[in-house]
Amino acid sequence: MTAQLAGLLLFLIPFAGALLVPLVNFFAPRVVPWLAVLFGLASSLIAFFLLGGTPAGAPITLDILPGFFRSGLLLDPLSLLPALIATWIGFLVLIYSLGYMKGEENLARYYALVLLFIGGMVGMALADNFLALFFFWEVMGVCSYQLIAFFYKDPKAAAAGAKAFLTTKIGDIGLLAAIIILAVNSGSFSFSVNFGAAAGLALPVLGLVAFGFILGAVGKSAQFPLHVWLPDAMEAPTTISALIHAATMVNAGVYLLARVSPVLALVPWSLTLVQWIGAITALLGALLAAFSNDLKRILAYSTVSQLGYMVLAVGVGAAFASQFHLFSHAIFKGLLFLCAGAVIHAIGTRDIRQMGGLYKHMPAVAITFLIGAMALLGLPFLNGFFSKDFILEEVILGGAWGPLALALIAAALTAFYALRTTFVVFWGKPKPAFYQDTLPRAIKLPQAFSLPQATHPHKTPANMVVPLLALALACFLSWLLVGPLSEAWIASGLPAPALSALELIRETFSSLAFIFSLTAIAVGLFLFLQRARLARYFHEQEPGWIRAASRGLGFDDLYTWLADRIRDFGDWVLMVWEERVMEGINRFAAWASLGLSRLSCLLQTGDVHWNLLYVTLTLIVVLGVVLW
Amino acid sequence: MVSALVILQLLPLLGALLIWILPRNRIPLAGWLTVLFALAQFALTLSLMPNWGVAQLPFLGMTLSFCFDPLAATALLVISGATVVASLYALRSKDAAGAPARSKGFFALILLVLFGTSGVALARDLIQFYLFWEAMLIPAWFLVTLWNEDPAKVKATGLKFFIITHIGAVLMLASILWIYSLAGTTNMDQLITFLPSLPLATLVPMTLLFLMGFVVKLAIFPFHTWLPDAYTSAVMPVTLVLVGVLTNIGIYGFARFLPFFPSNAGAALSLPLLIAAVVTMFYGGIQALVEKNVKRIVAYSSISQMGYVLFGFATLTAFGFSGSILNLYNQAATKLALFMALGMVAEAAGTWQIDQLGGWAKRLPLAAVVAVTAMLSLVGAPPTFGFWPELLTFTGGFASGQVLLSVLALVASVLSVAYALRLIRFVFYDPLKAQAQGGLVRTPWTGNLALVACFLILLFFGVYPAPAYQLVQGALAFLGLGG
Amino acid sequence: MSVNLLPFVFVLFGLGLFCLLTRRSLVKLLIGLELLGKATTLAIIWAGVVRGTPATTQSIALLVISIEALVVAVYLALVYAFHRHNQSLDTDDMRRLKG
Repeated sequence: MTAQLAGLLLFLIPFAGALLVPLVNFFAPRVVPWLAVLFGLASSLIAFFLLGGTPAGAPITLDILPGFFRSGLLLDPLSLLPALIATWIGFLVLIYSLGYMKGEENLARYYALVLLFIGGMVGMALADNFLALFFFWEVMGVCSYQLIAFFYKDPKAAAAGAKAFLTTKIGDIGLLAAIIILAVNSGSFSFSVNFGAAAGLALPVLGLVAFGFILGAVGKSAQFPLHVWLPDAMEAPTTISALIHAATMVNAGVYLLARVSPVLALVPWSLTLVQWIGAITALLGALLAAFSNDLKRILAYSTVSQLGYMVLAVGVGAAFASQFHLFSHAIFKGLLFLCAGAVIHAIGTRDIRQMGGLYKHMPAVAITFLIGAMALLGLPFLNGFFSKDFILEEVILGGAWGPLALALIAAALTAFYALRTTFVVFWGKPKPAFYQDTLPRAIKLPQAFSLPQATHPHKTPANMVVPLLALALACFLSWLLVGPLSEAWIASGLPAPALSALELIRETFSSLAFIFSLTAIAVGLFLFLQRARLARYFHEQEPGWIRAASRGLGFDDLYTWLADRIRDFGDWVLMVWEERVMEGINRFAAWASLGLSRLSCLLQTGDVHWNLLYVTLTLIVVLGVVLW
Repeated sequence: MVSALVILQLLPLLGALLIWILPRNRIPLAGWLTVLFALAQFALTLSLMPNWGVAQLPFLGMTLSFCFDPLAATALLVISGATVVASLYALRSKDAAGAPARSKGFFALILLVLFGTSGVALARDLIQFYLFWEAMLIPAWFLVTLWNEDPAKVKATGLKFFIITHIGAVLMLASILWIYSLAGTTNMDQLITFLPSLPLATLVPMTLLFLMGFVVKLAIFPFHTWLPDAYTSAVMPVTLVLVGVLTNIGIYGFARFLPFFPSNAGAALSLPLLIAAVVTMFYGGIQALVEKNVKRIVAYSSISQMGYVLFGFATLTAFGFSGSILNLYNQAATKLALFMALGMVAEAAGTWQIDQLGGWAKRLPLAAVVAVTAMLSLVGAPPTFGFWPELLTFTGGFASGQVLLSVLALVASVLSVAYALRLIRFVFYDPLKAQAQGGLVRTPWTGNLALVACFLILLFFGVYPAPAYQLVQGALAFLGLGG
Repeated sequence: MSVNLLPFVFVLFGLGLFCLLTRRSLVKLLIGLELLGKATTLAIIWAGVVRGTPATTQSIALLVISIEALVVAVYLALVYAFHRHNQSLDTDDMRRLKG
């Protein structure tokens, strides 16, 4: 199998699955989940053909709009990384879903959409042109909308799905505008042609293009100020949250920025903008995560924050560092979400104030969650540590001191919320009043591996634990791949430092960033240890910004207010303009024509004498005209 | 060739005559005959496809001139296909209480509308074009006024529909007579060489008068007021005919006649038309966002979408034209699917009010799936058909150099996402209202068939638009717009 | 020829018109109509005399008279039907064409 064919199959297999699943559902609904897993497995096996050593093969292309647009595959390390992450994490999510979604309604819809989602991400990453990228980008938007609103009977879920779609659509129009402007200029959608032609564009036009790309990435990757949809997306099944946060969707924006960095480099202010967006997002996300009490919302804000780091890395021109962190983040965030899913599955709430001491009941979940959290805060020798320090180092090298300061504050806050969440949920004081009667004494490791039983309350079935263990292991090991990754980047001409794992260790520990980030962790640890005092302070003083932070710093309120104003305007247009003015014109026309007809009706007396008189008068007039 | 085109033209009329001589009570048979004749026209168009050409036919002392080119074929495929879908849906669906019962005349009138529109699509002579334009409006008026769900307002609605659409038609007639007085002929092939010799000061008002007929038909702001009333108060199958046949023939008219007039006249009108298009997008969108009646929401969304169609044409670029002609297919399939799916909900729920609906995805899953797909196509999201016309339209906008207006058009598409999401959410999602609880609703198989057909079209062309795009490119070549 | 019939024709015509415009009885209207008809016939004949083609105009006059007879028959039939229906011969009772 050639690499081109493998790349094609990598997203065609999930798509075929998405097509087949609803059909099979007519005959055998019971096999649907397993069929979906099978397609996921096939796709993740195919992915091995793309790892290197496979001959590239003849390019596979398809004429979509003959004479205007032909789509093909681009297989370079930059594109393969998100594609492989999507395939593999997607596969784990599918396995996990077997247990998690058991007994839910509309499973065919669920599995079809998940497969479509995975395929969309892979297709987006492997496209060799902007239009196919945008096509799959939007396919993902559609899937996320449908999956977030999967429990459609819940108004909150329905609203969250719509919000995600609408918010990302705002970014999408920027992306579409940028793509079209480039295409109109170069006559093609292909990356290579456009990167060549972009240099010939006038700076204002190029600025518009760069802004469009940034807007698209900001929407999709939930960056400030369009981050509002991601926390609400928590209404989705937790599996979907894991998929969105680790494997698909939000990675797309970072990938896009890394992909178009040659264009961004042409516009001086755009990289600065990207840096600041990334840094502000990192800080904002960490701050909001520190003040949330909803387990999934904490993780969501944490994703926002980590994506901020990646965007910041792109902003200082370190695409490799951003992709490296993307890789680490996919693993530990996938792990954290799946753990959170197990917790929520077991006790049926998402509020961490009602959790505590869960280690006794689900040790496997607790330990893996701890590993994930440590990777998140950047404990040395976990994957998050290396990739985050790599980014900070690049920021220092890039001389972006302002963004660096924000990023370090964010790192301290990250350490704080990671510790807080882990300890409150798994080691804190149990809150027996809430869940003792709902939680079986028996969720311990041996039974956690036993087959799931359909009785309520849920246990943690084996097919939910296996993905956790796999991901936890990957948290320890994935950074070792930095060597092959950087080799592959350099081999395909992308800008990356030549690094092996050993050099990474040496560089990391000898850099300024290491000291900075250790300090940040220490500050975070200090904050965590002082949390009782902090809580008392906040409770007594209740500064205004704290209330604002727990309400998402007012962004939601602002956007809601804006939407309401638009709706008010619409109401006004409907009531005043449409109903009064437009209808008024119509009414006047009708009234005038009716009036004219009434007037002419007066002539029609029905009296034969009047008629005769008209005849006579007409005769006289005609005669007069004829004679003179 | 002549006989084939004449048969193509007369098929719907034959069908209508056949239904006329049927016994009064054979209503289902009349429905099936409608389906059959529209399908026959569809098949004949397909089979004639590569044999493009013009046919002259002496008739009552004048010469009828039929032209079968890719654009005409596109229009014929869409209108006959839409008639098939509408009459399939009409066969088994039930109307709201208070609407008059179907009779065989109902189906005969549908075929007569198809007859008129086919004539419009095939005409190569301005007078002939105008005659068929009228021949299409009159049966449509009968359909709107006779089969109406809202007896209280039917008089006003019918009058509005008749007067506004006829103002457009009369302005078009004025332009035709003006052209005839100057050129001495109404044959389009002869006029193409004559018109460029006219001064610009004559051409611009002449073109504008002519296009007014289509502007009204597309319901461009401020000539849109007939549309929401007509769509809303007519029974569902009539709405489908209006949506699938009449609106699309307006699109066809633009495609046919905007390049027909010399390009300097088009260039002078480009900017005003673009502005009208953008205003229409926003106007329709914002109305759809606040309107409470589901059918009116879709009606206003249709107005907004027609803004995009006009935008594509008004850019005067090959991209914009391909986008708008591609929209012939897309708008028909999208709007038919959306209206049918929502019609099924309304039929089961007995109301069109959005605040009394909700949660119907549970009881009507097929309609929900199709409605979501159609909604995505409406807002131009892949993998549905709507993405490609929208892409081409915007490309046309940027290619014509109107960056500001193009960006505004893009912003308007966020508005369409907003209203479409609202529509889907409050009809299909959220909890089911208490009085609407129950199991799956059984819908008639003919309606389901029509629904699934539209759904498959939307998805297939969404993934692989090449066949439609190629036909559109052929049409552009015939119109002299490159391609 | 010393006699000029034209003033007589006009007087006859005017009388007929006056009768038509002022009388309300359907029978009187018939008389007015007949007066108009006779005036016209006379005018035709007199025109033949003046222009020297009496044979042609007299034959036309004969045709007119015979057609008038038919008109009278139809008119009377209508009047009879109206009377049977409405028990009246008054034109005030026939206003169904009022707009």
